Amino acid sequence: MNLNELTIKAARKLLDDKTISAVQLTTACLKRIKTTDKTLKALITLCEKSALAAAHEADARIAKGEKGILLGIPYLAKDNLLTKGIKTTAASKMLENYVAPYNATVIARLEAAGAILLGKTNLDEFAHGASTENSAFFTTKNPWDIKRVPGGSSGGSAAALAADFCLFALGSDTGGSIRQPASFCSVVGFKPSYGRVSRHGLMSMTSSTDVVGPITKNVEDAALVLGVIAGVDEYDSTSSPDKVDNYTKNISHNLKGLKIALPQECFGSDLSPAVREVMDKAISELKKLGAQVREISLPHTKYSIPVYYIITPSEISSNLARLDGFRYGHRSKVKVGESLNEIYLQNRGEGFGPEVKRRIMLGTYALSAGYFDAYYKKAQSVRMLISDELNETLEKFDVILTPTSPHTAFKIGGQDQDPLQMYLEDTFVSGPSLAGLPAISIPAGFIKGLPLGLQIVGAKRQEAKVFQVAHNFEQATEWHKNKAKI
Amino acid sequence: MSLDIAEIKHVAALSKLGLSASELKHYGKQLSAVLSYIDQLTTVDTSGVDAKNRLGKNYNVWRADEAVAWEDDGRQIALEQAMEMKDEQIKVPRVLE
Repeated sequence: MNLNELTIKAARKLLDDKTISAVQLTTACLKRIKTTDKTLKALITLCEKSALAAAHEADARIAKGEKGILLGIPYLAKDNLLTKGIKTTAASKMLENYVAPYNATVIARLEAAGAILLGKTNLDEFAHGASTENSAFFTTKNPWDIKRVPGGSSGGSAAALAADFCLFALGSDTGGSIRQPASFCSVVGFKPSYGRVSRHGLMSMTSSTDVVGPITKNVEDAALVLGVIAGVDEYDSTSSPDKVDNYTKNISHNLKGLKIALPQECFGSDLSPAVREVMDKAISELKKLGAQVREISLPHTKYSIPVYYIITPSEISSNLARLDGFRYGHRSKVKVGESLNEIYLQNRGEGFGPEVKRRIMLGTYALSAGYFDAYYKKAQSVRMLISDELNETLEKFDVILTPTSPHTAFKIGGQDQDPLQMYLEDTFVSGPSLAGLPAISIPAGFIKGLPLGLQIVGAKRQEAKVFQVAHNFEQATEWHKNKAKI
Repeated sequence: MSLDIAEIKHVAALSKLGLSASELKHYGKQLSAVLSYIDQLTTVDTSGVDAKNRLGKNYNVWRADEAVAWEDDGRQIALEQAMEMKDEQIKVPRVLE
């Protein structure tokens, strides 16, 4: 086995035994990236020099007897997370040459823990999308079939991890952006509860649902990374002051008597028979493990997408106002006129890509005079109903189970001309985001050689429960051991 | 919901996006389709929901309003992002008319 293929836990043991060094581990990852990323296009920036320097430092810390789960472990971060002294582009022309002057809290915590940043991964511009086709630079390929998308918006992180470029990757999830690419690439993608992980230094998209989370090779690794990045942060007033749990302590506890809810709306007649078959097998497996599975109804869940596509663009229209060519972003070289307004129009018209423009306009419209009540207020009200329904269900059940995505990875260029079709990608994943709940996507099977994930949603702050169910399923099925041949 | 060309122009102006005539037409069509889809929300009974109060349920987080000095390298990187500099300060076009 090549070192870059190791899980965090396996690498940790070898590093602590002094069987391998952090430099060897990092070199193996860099080598894999250099040979394979020409095909995959998962990275926007490679940080070879600083990664090797960090690896030497990690080895020195290990030699001094320092312990730490991520000490000397190489990772990749989505390029909407600020990394001091390193280009941070959000895959936008707006920030093509932007170098972050400080680290996001998650990056700072990983640096302190001795994790090694290998580089920055591709995404849909400002995380707006579900395929990486909205990246202003290039589209990342799916390692299972390079004619297909890796999902998005954290598609670069999911594809890179699936191709063993690193031992773990960071993504951000606003309405499915960690879970959907995890499903498409057959990796584990975890979205923590809203506020569990600091958003400081994550470029704001939808501040009421944005959250940073890990993409890993198995469930236990996701729990280990979360343990390092979670916790209150004075720079993010929405971060939760609740104590950070030990997420691996009860991860192996069996599922006897555990209650799982299946929302009938997610298993309706429009679900493809192939996806249903994968899900049926998964449900039987969970029953075998001792779980009690019951069908329930979430009648408002079908409104998740229309609600999401009012709330999200509204917050985007406000959050992206700072990208005006003065405070941040691209300044046009075209001399259009003297007035400030004309300069703004030119900078923003040139700098933003089509999906960002659509979302800014949709949000601006929803928040504009005369439409606020009909759109924004209405969407917030329906959001409450969706949220109540999920929370009430999770008072009676331990977790909710759905497919992560209605299908496997689609072809590059297959649906990029139809924004509405792309929005429907988030059908099963946007509800938990609107309610701020923890949710994971784990490998659950294959359809014609392409992976599909299942989603497990837990009650707020019950990430440990989500990990426990996911870990038990994973250990019983071993879908996660299948590797893309790239 | 369908946006006519005057409406989409108005939205683009409010959004501070300079768009060509063909872009306006293109986005107008796409946004109309999305809004028509979103219009299904009007069928949901939300009479019992007080979204404003519910959203305000969060607590405040306070800290002392104290200036914290930024380390030199971070400050230097931030300044380097500016298109124009003069005497260690960022120079921008005139914004007050």
